[in-house]
Amino acid sequence: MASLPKRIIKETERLVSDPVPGITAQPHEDNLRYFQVTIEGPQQSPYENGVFELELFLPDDYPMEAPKVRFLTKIYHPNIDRLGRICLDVLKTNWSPALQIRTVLLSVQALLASPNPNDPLANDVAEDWIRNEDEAIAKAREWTKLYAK
Amino acid sequence: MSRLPKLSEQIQNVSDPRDFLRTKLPELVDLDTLLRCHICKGFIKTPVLTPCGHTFCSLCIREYLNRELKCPLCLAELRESMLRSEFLVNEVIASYVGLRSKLLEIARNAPDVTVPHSDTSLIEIAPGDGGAHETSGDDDDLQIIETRESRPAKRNAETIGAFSKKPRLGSEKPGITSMIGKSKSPALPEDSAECPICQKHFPLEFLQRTHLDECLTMGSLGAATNSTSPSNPVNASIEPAHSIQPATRHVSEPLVPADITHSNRYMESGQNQGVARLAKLNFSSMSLQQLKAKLTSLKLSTTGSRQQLINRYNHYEMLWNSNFMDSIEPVEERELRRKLASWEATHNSLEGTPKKGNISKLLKKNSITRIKDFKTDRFDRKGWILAHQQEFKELLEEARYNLAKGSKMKDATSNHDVSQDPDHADSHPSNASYEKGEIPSNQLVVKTEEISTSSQNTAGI
Repeated sequence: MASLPKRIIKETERLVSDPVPGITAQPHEDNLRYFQVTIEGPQQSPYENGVFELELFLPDDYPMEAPKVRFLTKIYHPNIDRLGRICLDVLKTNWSPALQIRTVLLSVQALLASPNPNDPLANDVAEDWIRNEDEAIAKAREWTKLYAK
Repeated sequence: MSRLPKLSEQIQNVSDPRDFLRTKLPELVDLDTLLRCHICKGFIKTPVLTPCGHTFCSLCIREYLNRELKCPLCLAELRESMLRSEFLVNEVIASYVGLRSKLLEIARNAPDVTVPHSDTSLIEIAPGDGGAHETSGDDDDLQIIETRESRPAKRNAETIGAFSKKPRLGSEKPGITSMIGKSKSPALPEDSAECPICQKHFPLEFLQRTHLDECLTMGSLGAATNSTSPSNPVNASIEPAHSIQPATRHVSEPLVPADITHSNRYMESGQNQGVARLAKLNFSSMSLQQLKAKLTSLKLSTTGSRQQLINRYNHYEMLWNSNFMDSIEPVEERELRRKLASWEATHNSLEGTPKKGNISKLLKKNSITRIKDFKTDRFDRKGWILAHQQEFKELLEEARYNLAKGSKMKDATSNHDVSQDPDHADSHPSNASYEKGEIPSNQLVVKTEEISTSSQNTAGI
């Protein structure tokens, strides 16, 4: 393994010693670019009281390139598909090297608080969401209870 | 598990703004954060300013602009040609970095005056720190200077205030001055306190309102007269720390010459004349010949695929422009080529340099195309022998069989003599025919000879 850039060491140290409330990120023992992440569902969202597992990988070109983030826990959300891939601007076109793991995970948490069915990734979920929002939110709650424990 | 201690080891070698959190000067977290690059998180190396007012390491931002033409902080449109070097910031940071470990030491070991304070200051600074990371879009030098001059001074006034209020509570400070203070204190009226700078006693109110400011100003003025640069912000910011602890005053002496060199370097800095910016190339309209000619004119290697040549030029262009356009002290071209070489070793590795373990596999796969490598020194003879041992054995056996057929059957013990014959006599008809069919190179004959002699040896045993 090539030596880890100082920036990644710094970020890791900060994540472990001074974690963001409701978010944990632990580097994998064998690969310090691979993180096991948990995010608590935001209050007053359908994902409240759920704990969602994610994986995060820092590519070789990080921070020039965005980290790869994916949900491992099943979630009913218009911007997250069944493979756990996330439709989020800062992970794609709006990535900037001034961002970091911390801010990316906060953005993911914010996405849980405000689903955007008008820019969907999971089309079926987004359609449900637009057709009957209350029903969709109820289903999201149910999935949270079922899977995000 | 074996990697974890390695990580913690690495962490200890990495400086972080929060090193100052648990010291007597937690405000330095903010300053320390401002002087770092938002891309690499280290202190800014060769700072460049964008038109939108943001500062990054020259190499960091140039590397990013090779991918995206926008500012990483505000996403405003940005091109490499818009970057301007900032020599002042360069010297300010160099000066700060030189001071940092001393500053940290002083801030850690300052007299035990702020212990009751440190908890509140932790809370005070924590949101500011987070904010700086997430939203700070304004690390121009105006702000940096402001932070340096006003914040620490204010902080010192506070800590000194705390000290003067509780001189007897925080009386762990040993030494003659504190003993004198103690012996005198009962005689003094209750609302008087000792000034930590000049050690005189004043009424508390007077001390806090006017005397401390005066005392501090006098102290920094006195230091400023030592230094030839009265406007040096670093000196101004470090001085109050010294004033708290007169015992460490001698530390400022070695700093003075350092300050002079940074100031002088800044005064003497100017646009580098005579070296031209390397242009971006439009590779799609260039032939391979043109590309190679360009690289040769820069004394760069021309080996590798077209893409590797392009990567090589792009990286060298970045190093070149960062060095000759932005740096206050450009290095020689030779040093740039050395940097390029170390970058290539990890990022642009050349094809066609097979790893040792794979040589025999590679040879087996394309033995025909590899044969021309025979004539180079790099040819792996052992690998070749190993890879073709079986083939050679079969050939030998066939040769023996044919020979035996030609000169009638002979018994097993005389086999050695038979097999030796074709090796030594190249003109033997049957032997020549194998070579034509299987192996085109003349040198192979030598190889077969080696193999056959070695196999004879083992057969003989």
